[in-house]
Amino acid sequence: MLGRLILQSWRRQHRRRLLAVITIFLAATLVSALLAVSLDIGDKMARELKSYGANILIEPASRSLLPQLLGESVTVSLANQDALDERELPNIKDIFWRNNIMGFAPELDGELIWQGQRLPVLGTFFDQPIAVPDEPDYHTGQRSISPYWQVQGAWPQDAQPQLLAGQALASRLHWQVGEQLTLAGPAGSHAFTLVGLLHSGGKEDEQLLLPLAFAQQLLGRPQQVDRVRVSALTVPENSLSRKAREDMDALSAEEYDLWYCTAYVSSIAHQLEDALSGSAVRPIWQVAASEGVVIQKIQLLLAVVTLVALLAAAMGIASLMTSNLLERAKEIGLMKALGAELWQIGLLFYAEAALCGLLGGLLGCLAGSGCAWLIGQSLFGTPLAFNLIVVPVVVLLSMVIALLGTWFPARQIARLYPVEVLHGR
Amino acid sequence: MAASHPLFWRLVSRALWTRRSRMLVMFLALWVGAVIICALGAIYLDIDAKMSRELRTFGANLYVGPQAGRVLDEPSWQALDQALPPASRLAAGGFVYGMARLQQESVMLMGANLESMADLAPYWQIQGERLAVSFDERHAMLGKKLAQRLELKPGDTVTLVKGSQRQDLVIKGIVESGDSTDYYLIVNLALAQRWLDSPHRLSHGLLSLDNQQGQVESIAARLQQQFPALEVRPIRKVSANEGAVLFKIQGLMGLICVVILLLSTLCVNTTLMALIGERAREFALQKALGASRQAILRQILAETLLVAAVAALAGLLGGALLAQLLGQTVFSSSIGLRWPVLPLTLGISLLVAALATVMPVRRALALEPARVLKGE
Amino acid sequence: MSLVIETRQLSKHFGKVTALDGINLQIRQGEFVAIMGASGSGKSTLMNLLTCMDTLSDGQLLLGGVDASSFDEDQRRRFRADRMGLVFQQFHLIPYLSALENVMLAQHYHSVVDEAAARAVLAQVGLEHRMDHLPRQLSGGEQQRVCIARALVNAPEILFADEPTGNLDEQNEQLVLGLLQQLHRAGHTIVMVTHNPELGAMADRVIRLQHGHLVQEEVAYAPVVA
Repeated sequence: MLGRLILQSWRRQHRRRLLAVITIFLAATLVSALLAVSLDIGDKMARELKSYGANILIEPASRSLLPQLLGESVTVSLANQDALDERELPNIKDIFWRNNIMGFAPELDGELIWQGQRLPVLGTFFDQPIAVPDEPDYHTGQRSISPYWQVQGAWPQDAQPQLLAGQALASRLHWQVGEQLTLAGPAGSHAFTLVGLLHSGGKEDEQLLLPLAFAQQLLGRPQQVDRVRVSALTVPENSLSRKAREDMDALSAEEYDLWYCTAYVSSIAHQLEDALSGSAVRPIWQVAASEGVVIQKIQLLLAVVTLVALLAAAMGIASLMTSNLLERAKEIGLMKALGAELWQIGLLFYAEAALCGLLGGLLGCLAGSGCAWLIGQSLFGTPLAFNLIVVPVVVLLSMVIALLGTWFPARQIARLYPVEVLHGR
Repeated sequence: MAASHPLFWRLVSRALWTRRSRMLVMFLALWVGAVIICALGAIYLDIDAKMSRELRTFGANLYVGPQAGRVLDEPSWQALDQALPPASRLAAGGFVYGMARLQQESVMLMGANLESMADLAPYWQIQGERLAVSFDERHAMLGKKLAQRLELKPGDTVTLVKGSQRQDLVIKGIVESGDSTDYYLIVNLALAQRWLDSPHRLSHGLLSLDNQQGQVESIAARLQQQFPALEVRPIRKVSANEGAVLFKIQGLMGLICVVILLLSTLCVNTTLMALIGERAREFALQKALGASRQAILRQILAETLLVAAVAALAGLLGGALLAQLLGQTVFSSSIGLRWPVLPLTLGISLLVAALATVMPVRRALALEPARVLKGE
Repeated sequence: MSLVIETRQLSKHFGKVTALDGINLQIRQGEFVAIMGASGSGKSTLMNLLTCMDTLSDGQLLLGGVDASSFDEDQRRRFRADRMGLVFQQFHLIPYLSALENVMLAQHYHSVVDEAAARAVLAQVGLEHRMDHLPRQLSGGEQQRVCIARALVNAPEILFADEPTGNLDEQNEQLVLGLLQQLHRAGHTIVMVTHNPELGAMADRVIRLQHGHLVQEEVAYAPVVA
């Protein structure tokens, strides 16, 4: 009979029940979309913030190179020192967090001679294909890790003798794109074509950039690399990662596992250090720390907004359920007059509320995933991942809120004598 | 005009009072809606300012150095600093570099305006304490790599040596930044200038400017023209991205606000419709008594809009409070309330109320009163 | 012949207003009793007390020999479901349930649903063709007959009817009254509240109320022995 009661009330008064379902549906859509967005936003914003460039620096451990100064003329001691081995570079894509490595670029410093002038050069990858086990057509280089570089002209091809000149250097030497330049080094000379001018706002503005292979050949340093810049997706630092950074030995076994299996910049750095022999890996804190701050802010903002929306949705549902029930006070009065037990009446209304919540919640999740998809597409160009945990959370929440919205007025009405309701008092 | 008739207002006030529990539900629904609109509107309109401030954690975004073959001296640096639009200038600091001898070995000395480093390099990971006063000449900070090589930790003392001159410095903090700073001994600018015998000379200066509208590029271009002896250029790594990231964040907030706004107004709408639809019998009765459709509509509209207006005003108050709460939680600063929030909140609230009234009333009036009265 | 209802000094106060004052009443099994009086005389209040829909302020109420004065809410509900049938002036049918389902609802709250029995009761009140209609598709008389069928379906000891014809036209009034008489003849105990003397005349006995006092009991016809 209970089923029949519910069925008939939905079939014959679908307008009213529909309104409740629609309200819950809208609220659930809102909440599920926001939940999905806030769960995935860290990842998405981290990707956006990759435009700030590499956040990890790999150098030879025994490096005693004097620092380069921003804007000061670059002085690099050419005294032969330890270097990283280019053949080990694919190991970078073989660590535990390899899928978080967005890209890397090796760099080799040196000086080459052009028409009697010593010019600082930087050998690097621009967009070099690299043999990586899982990704057959993986390629990386400055193009992917330094998206803020503005190149006037074209990017050099890694296999061609092509050059990219820093704009400050080029304007000093009055170079134009298309210029033929012959560069000489300790181990030979080669003719190059200048294909592009670089505006980076950093020291590269004073340098001449050429493919790594040519730089190694001319400088007589085969397979050597001075440093590697790595761009990795990381999660914001927290107390655990700070503790790990200060003293890794102080971590308990569980803490170590948790730290190791979380994409902190420090744990990725740690894994990279193991992957490349003789290397010292450091986070570039300007990027790594700031990223963390910005992402945490955005996550917090979204979490707070989601919470507010949730509260609003809850009140919306509760107020609708309340008005719905007030409307049916007479029905309840009659049922009481007919001798219905309180739990029987309660069961009917709670079952209806739960059904509303279930239906609205499920449909809302569907629409919410659509909303999240739309937000992801229009903002980030890729759909947001819709975490399936959202579905049970939202459905449960809808049902609980609908039940609560029923419970308050139901209690009030149940306390009345049937005669008071039936006679409209 | 029915609206001027005393009975009209009596009907309205009666209806509000005798149905006060339902009116409370209606008021609450509208109020929550207004709070959400007001708070989100305020946050949305302020988000670019707030987030652009957050993005300043990436540090300086404008570089000032001498043109090749020239030097940058303090007077011209100060002149440039003065020439900045004050509203945009968040922090500025001059730097001087040079070699200095410690008792142990030669090190790179970095002189900086230490009080502005918290803004120019907020990303420094400091073990120990940050040195943040410009007149302190007894303390220094040490780059992490240098500290490792010299095996020093905070609290230790290093001694600068120059001929017969000596200067003891207590290490206050070890700085890790992941760039060349890790190799420096960092002291206050005045001390470094004196020690390096280059008074009033700077190696370069860094500026942190508000880049909300991407104005750093244009400011750089203007300053370059104004000071041809200097090289002024945006640190593109930082400046070029701010606009893009800010745009994304603003877009995200905008979309989310629209979604929330849309759905919560619809939520409010359904609640109101349920509340008003419930009174179909009453409208039918009025119609049966000979009231015109307009008169009924007017009466119920007056009722609802009265509640909506009160709810919207209360919602503005609540929304302003909520926005402050959110601002404090997320950005640790208050959210500026801008004027468009006011018409937005009032307008949407009243519109929602009016729409939610007209639809069910029209439907109820379209039915034959007899059928409604019979209990359909 | 056993007493189904007995009241001793039954009183009901609403705040300072006394609605019923010291009512002594006895209703035997198989009797058809009409409670009459002007509006505000307390007849509805008395009805509400007799049907356990309201609590009494003073006195004693015995239902089937059991003292119902101290019944708690659940006992009153149980008593109502098991032993009473209610017919309302406003019908109070659930709008989204068909005639049959409205009757079955009473079975549901009484014990178990028996569709065949529900159909039989509806046929008894002459609605065999209207069983699957919704209340709004039925005329007033038909709705009231559904209401009576709902009251009868659990074979109650007493049938209470509160102005059963108050909302009906003359033709339907006759129909419903005929039905009540028929039930009476079949041995049902019926208590009817009305202000209509014509209806009162049909009862075995009329109880008159005035300002909350019992003013007169009269026997209209010789009691029918069940």
